[in-house]
Amino acid sequence: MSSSGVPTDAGKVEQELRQLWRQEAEKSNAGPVLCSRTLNLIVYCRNFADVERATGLLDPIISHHPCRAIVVSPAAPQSEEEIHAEVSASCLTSHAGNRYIGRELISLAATPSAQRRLASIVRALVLPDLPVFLWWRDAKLLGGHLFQQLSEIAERVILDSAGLEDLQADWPHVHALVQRPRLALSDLAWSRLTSWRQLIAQLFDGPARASYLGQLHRIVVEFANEGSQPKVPADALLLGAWLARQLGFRNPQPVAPEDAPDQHAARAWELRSGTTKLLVELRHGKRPGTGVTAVFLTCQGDPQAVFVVSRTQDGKGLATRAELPGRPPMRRLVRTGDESATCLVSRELEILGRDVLYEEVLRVASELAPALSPA
Amino acid sequence: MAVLTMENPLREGIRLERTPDPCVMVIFGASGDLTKRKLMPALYNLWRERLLPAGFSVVGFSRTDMNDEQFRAAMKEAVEQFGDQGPLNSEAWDNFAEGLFYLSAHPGHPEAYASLSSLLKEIDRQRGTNGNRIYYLAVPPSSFAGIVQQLDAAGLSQAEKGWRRLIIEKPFGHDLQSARELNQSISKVFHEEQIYRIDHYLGKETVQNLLVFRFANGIFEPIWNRRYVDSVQITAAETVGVENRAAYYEESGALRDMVQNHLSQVLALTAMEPPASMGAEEVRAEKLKVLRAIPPVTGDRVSSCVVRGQYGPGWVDGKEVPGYRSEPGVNPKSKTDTYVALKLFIENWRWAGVPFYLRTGKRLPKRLSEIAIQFRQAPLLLFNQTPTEQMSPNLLVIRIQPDEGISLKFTAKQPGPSVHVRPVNMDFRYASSFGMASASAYERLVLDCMLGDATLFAHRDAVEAAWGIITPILEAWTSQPASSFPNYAAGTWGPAEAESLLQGGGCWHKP
Repeated sequence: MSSSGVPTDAGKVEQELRQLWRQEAEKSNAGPVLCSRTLNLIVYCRNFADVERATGLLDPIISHHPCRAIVVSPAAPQSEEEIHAEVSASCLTSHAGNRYIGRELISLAATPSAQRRLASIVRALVLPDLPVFLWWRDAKLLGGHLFQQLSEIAERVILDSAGLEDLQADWPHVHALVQRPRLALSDLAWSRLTSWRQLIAQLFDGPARASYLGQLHRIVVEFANEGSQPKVPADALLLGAWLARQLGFRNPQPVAPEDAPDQHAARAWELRSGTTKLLVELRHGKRPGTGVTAVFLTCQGDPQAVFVVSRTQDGKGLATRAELPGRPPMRRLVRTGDESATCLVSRELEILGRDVLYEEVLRVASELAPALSPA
Repeated sequence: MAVLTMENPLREGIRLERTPDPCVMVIFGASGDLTKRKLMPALYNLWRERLLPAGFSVVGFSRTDMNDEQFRAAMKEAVEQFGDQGPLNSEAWDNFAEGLFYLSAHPGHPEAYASLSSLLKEIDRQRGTNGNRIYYLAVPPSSFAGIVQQLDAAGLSQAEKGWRRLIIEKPFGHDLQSARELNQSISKVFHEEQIYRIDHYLGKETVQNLLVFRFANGIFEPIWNRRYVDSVQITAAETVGVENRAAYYEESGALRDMVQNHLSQVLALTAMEPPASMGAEEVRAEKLKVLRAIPPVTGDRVSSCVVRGQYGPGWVDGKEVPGYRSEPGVNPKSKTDTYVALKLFIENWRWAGVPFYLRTGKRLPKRLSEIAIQFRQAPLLLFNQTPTEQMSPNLLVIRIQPDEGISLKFTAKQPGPSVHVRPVNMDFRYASSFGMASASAYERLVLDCMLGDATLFAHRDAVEAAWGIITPILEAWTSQPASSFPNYAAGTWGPAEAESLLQGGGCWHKP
């Protein structure tokens, strides 16, 4: 069911939705249509093309999380209406044959002059007593007025810091978000690191393995990216920051990377914990893919113990290798979780509280970020 | 340094997923059906999902003559056949299979355990499993005591380093006396906190959600008592017959097979008081109190509170099926119960006077398990076009399988000038609300055992308390064998007499 060109005040949009549901209920004699919605999802798209992409991604997300989705975007250039609204809705059918309201999609496209009205319409359309998520698909406008207004409606903002074009400039905006007291932040770049963090942690499970953590002296996070200039991606920065933070190292000082063939494609910091030093390097590698492609953790000693996690050639799995003195190397291969935007956003919608660890890692990443400026 | 104060600081905050210590699972009965159908697919799924630690290993222990490679090939075939993940990724499987080992040995021979000990030490050395062991007894209960004693004699039951745990499968005895004997013989070797009695019902998502539903929602607990609840019905219905378990089932029957364990555990979770915490000891203590508050049904009360049945031929799901006595391996004059319905009471302040109806059977029309809480009827006739007696009472149904979820039936006015009311269902389904496939019950329970969390496993006292409830019924049945078997047709909801159990003209919930 859908209607387009709906008059754009919240009451009329609600009326249109009610009309759609009445039509659905009258379609057959199958009994009343019931309602199953678990949240509100506001999606900000950067342009009209992105609306189409996001709407395609929303279908599987909504099938996992019955909700009211409100897609907000700038209007198409030729638009004659200040705010153009469309509504659509669809039912799910249960095993027992009952029909449920599972999906309500409201699209609002506003001309620049009407954008100041958007947030008030969205606020009125949000279903009461259900959590509100804002999926912000344009990292460039994080500091803008509309972001500010929509994020005040939301309890959780979902963004992807991997989309930040200038980490050094944009990182403060991301960091500022977690300072807001009633707003939780989900970063898809951090979510993509879950498999990496889990596998790295597993390498040090058990007292015998954990003892190597105290001997680590060098960590290399290797990354790849598509651009002609090898820039450090957000996930590499976050992974380096996470390792440093969890191992108890502080006070990062930029240093020259070791053994880096291209000094422009690598950054390094020395951190301290008491008198112990740790070198953390982020560097462009030759493995295919984007984002983090490998992590090397090297211990002091001769011979050195080395732990490696790397993406497989086909990009679908992660391989781990533990090389311990006097033992044959132990290898492991597992698949990564589904890293599609659909799956990552779905997972974030399951979480309501703040991710305290992420916020701490973000703080450490903010300390590293100034050194990302061109050498 | 922070790393010196925490075993593995990298573990902090990895949300949603828990990973146990590296360990070895020794499966006794490794060539059997349980290993192939349930255990190995569950272990492989856990491995694929990165929930098992690097170094996790399995030692298959069985009399069947196989080497490591043959065992790996057999397990691969089993996972392909019984797993739910489609074709295996051969690279991922090979990596998992590197941790599979096999010991062909007789479980009654002491030298087999010396070999096992050597193999486990070698695995510890090669794969870093640190002396952590789970012994999974996927063998008939008659073998439990012997294996446990052999493990003890070989010094494998208690750990110098790491931990040792034992998983056993039901049945935990065949009556109260035998359950006590089994518990005593095992407890001579393993401490109770090392013993994990697995009941796969408790691994199901909805059973776990029952605790969340009751104790995380303020609105239900105030009405969860005799003042508002009219009755509780717990149903575990199967469409299958005895399949290839005739030898076991002939000795067991529905009462032993389902009520002693699954249904009594679900009953306890439904009726228990809020625990002081969600720790294993606290939850299990509250469940035990419920079971101990159920007066055994004895003597003449057995005939008025318990109905037994056995299916005859009939039709299930469009297929004609034979009666129980015509199933392969079943005695043509068998008196074994394939259906049982009971009325029990819980003598405590919360539940005094509220009947709990339990029923389970084979060859019923649908496969399902559910708890139906029927609330008391509205007291006054306010809607003169709909007599109160025609109005359905509120019913809260917690479905355990399939289509896991919760529904609440309430009454609503139909639109129009007249006051006509009708029941409507408000449904919450896991699949549509969270849209994710739950881990299988075995995956959840095996992982819990590796993590040392016994919350969803049965304590010996609870096992004995449940046997204490049903043993008098078994004794009464022995003295008065069933005379009217078969007494229900396959594909029906059981014998007509089961309706007579319900008080006040009530009827069984029709799922």
